[in-house]
Amino acid sequence: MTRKTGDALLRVVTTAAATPPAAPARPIPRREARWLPTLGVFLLILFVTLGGFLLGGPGEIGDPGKTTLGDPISVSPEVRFRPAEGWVIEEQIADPPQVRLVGDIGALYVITAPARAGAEGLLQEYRTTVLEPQAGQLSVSDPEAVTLPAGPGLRVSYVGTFEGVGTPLVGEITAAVSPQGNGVVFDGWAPEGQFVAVASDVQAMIESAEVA
Amino acid sequence: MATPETAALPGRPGRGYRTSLWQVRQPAFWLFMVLLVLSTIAAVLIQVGVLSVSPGGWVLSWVLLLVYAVPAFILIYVLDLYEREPASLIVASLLWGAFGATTLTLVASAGWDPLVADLLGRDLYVQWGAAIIAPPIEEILKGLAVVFVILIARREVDDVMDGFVYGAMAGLGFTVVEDVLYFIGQFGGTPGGILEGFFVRVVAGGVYGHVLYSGLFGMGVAYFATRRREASVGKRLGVAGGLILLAIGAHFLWNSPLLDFYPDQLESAADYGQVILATTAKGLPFLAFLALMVSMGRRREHRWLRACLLGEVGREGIHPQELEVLESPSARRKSRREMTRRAGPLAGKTLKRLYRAQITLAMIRSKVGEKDDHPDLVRQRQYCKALRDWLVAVTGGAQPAARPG
Repeated sequence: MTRKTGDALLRVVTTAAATPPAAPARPIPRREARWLPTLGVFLLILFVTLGGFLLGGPGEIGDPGKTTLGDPISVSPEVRFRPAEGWVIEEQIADPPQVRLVGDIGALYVITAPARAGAEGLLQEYRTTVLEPQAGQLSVSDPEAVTLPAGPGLRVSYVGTFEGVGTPLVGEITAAVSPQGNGVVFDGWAPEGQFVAVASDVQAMIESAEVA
Repeated sequence: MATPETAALPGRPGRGYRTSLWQVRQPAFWLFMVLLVLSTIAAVLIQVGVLSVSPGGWVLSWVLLLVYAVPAFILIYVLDLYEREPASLIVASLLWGAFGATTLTLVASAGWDPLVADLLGRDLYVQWGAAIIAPPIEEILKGLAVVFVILIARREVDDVMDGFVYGAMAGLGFTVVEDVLYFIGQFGGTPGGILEGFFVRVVAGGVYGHVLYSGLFGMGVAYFATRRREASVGKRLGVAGGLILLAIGAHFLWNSPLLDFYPDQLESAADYGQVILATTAKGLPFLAFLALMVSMGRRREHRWLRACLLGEVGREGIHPQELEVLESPSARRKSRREMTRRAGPLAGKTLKRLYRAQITLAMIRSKVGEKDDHPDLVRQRQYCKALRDWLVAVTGGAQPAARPG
């Protein structure tokens, strides 16, 4: 090998080492992981699904403290409660003592009875003798314990179709028993999708109840 | 002459330019899958609850809704003339609408309902609550199906028609699951109530509902994502925002007391006729607009096909008379029928493969640009030629894709 040829070869080798030929381009560009837009989508989903809870705050949903209550109504000598503003008595019967109030959207039915089997028995009796006979389709939740000023109680939610009512109704039944054994049942309801608008009024009226 | 029994059919080249749902390197894929799995579990529990209220009603509801959903699915799918979307992405959109969007909507409504009720006051809420709350929540959650498809498989959304297909599929899934809940919850779950619900929500209102809204929404998202080279950011935002707002607006009008011509009761034939008039008044203008958009999208797809194949016509991949047939779905169908009549079902199916291969040739051409000798392009041309040669052999020399008389 001559020196000239050797130099030329060296030049080729060193040049090639310094600037390697470009790798052939991919026919299809590699897919880049898109982290930022995915994070944006995740935040959007969080806002849409949970934004109402966050903006509403824990005290806003069905907050009975916001309801203005009127003068007390006596259902029986042992039971009385205060109606929310805008709710009027539609019907009141002395025996057995009961009253039915209506608001713009919903209704509240209050009935008193001696509760020998406690709140659970009272709730079950109301369900089988009043609610179920009027219902077409009915779905009732499991009872949930509640503590009211009137005493310890139980509450269930329901959704169902009822005779003479065009749309399904959503409601809550609350049964409470005083230490003296006097029981009271509150059944508040509204058309499906609108119970939320009356929930705070119903809750406030229940919490205003005094059971001797 | 070779016969279908003796001549081996050419094998397909690799799938190459198709992208499936399973893009495990994309974070959007995992977000989508986690949300879909969790929401599907919740949706199944909800369906079990509905089933326990009215087992017979639940079954009847699903049967009736499938009678509606299957043809609707096929119609949406075939509206995309040339580049049919991958099955995994289509199914993903449908499932997202059915389970992801419906479940998330229930959660969202539980939060926004009390807030809006509080802000509006009782009277306004009763009248306008459903119109104000549901449309933005539901349209955004359904429309995310198209956003997910773009983030997971960007290559599969290259025009507004693709956005329409994915969006409409999400809308279809949503409406089926929502209707089951309506039939049992609001129409009582009895056979009579369910049939009444089916008439009101599907027969009279089916074409104006979620499929329409989500189709518009999907077109908006796809417009923004696919027109980077043709339109400014402002124009893309404007058109996409306009279509999305139109989708939400159409849903708003549907839920609102505006143009409310519904009868109080459904007792006579006139009442049923009035329901059809009422749904038409609320939905027809938007359906007409969607039809116009779809028509424009299809014309654009025609232009796309011709532009892509312009440099290919006359080569081994596609002949001039084949392009003429390829551009017309009805001519393709006639041609396939004619081929089946002349040379049997296998030949008819092979002709269908030739058309698909030529559409794939157009897709490859659009991806590789001016590189005439790109290996994928060459391979696809050879595949088309092999299919044509096979057809020529089995038909005794007749050109397979000639326009039938």
